[in-house]
Amino acid sequence: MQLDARKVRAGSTLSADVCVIGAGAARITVSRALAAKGRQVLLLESGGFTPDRATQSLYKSTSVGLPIDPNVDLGLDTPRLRFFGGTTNHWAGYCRPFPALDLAARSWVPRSGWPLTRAELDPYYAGAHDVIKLGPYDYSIASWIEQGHLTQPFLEDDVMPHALIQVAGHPVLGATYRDEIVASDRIRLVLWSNVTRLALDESGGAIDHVDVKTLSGNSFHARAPQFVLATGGLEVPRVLLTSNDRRPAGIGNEHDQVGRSFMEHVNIAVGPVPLTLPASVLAPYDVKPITVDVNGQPRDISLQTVALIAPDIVEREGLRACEITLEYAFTPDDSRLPKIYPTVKRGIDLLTAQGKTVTTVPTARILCEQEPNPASRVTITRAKDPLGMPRVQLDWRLTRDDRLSMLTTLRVFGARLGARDAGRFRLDIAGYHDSDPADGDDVKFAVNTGSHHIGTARMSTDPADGVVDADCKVHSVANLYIGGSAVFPTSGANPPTLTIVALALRLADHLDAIR
Amino acid sequence: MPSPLDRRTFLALLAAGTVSGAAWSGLADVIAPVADGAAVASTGASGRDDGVVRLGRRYLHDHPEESDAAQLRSLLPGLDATQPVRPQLPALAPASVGDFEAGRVVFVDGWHLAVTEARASAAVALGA
Repeated sequence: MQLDARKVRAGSTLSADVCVIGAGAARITVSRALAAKGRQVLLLESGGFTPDRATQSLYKSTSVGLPIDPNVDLGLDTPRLRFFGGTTNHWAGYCRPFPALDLAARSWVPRSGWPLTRAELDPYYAGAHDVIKLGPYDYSIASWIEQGHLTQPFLEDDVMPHALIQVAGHPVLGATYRDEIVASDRIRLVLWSNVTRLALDESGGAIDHVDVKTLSGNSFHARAPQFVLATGGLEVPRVLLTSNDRRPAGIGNEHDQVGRSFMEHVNIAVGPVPLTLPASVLAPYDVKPITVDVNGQPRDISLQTVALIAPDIVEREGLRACEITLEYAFTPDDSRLPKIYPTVKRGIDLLTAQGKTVTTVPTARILCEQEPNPASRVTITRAKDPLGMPRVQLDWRLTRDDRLSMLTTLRVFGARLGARDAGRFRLDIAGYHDSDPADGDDVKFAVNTGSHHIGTARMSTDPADGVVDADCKVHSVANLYIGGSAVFPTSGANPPTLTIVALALRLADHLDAIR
Repeated sequence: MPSPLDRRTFLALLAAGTVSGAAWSGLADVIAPVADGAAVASTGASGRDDGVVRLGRRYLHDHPEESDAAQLRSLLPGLDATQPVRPQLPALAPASVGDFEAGRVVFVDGWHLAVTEARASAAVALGA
């Protein structure tokens, strides 16, 4: 069922078994899963079915730390989308589960360690594949090679093992599930409803209701025995910190953890890689569309492999997780190449002088984990939006060890290229090119992120070190749960959405089990 | 096989100034270009557009203590001392592969090179 918050009677209270706040990947998933279990769900979505400028502007924030996408000035509001389907509306669909090592406590990554294991997540990852409509839950490169869908990545060896990425063919979950949700008699989707406060009950130990406002001036309440707040890594702390009428530091913030440990994926095209192998060796690194059969249903997906660093080296060198891929290959005589990499000729000349023939020049890209650093944080400001909600301020920081880890990783990559006599690599951060050469675009910007907002309501066993427990329940609130990447204790180097959906399925199971 | 690169090696390289890990802005130290002829005592190869010469000059800029052509040649394994270095570069490929395997690597103008090929480029830049 679909409602319009602007037409709900002012001052009234909507009720359900579970109130889910937001309508992105996590909240769509948890709502559908709960409805399938017979629960009545109130799904509060800030926007409508299409983008709305005034609603989107509620995301407007300031950044005082490391610049995010400085050369294109994306700011903090553009990567997020505030309408039904949330940020999946421009999600590229890249999926890879967390490796077991990246979930574990690693002595060389401060505050690492999820209170969950890969084995516990595996069944939910499999379920998430159905939600996102990916291929079979199979991330074995050998298996996909055996099926004829991949060729062997030329860089894969004991030093640089590779991982598989599955890319969803239809990643816009709002479009995929809109009709089902609107038709559901167990889900009431309330469009144009903005949650401005979580209100505690008389005991102060549980949420009684939430305040809902619309930009048109309407306001009402939503009440449920269980609440799921899944509004993203910036908005979750905003709502928790703003709800400070009973708990001055904000809800769930008894240990000053809400908003801290903000993490992004550092996602940078790091430089050219003149190769002396046939250009066809790049095929496994390219995104290859295929159609696969899953339980008799055809699914459009794509496959890509990424290079990693072997776990023993990661541990010995104290590295954060990082994936490396090769993209946007040019032929060495392409006139655009020196415009992007003005000194690329030097490496090509060196290889040529050694009697080798450079066949292709891809760009190496890294996507890296950073450590959960409490000083990297989201706070709220005195500036307010039209609903009276304080704006968000982000102070994003990397540590020196984060930077060293990236450089060491690239040195291993460069050494393996040379040891295999496959080519050379130049560290060329300033020459970043983020557009397909086939489009004829020029250099756009030098630094990029994954637009992944992670860790501001981190999961922990010890309430002093996080905001939610292993069930995603806020430690200090009996009936408030958090969904999305805000709860990730560490980010890994894998795209987060598959894990977001898996955790949402797991949360739905938990909420159903304890009712 | 395990990587030849360990943290001690990496920190030694940092100390030598071949890598700057203090900040991304420090990468400019790694990739900043050097003007033609800078810090080069002599050059027998004109090659303004010759990438090998440019890399060699950059290496010499970073390692002025290796600016003696004869000494450089002595560090390059298996070269015919009576012949110029440049035509012999293909013969150095196995040594370069060995360098990469052993972690004897250096950033030159941002390029991640084997020490052997970096020195060979420097020798070419010096006209050896």
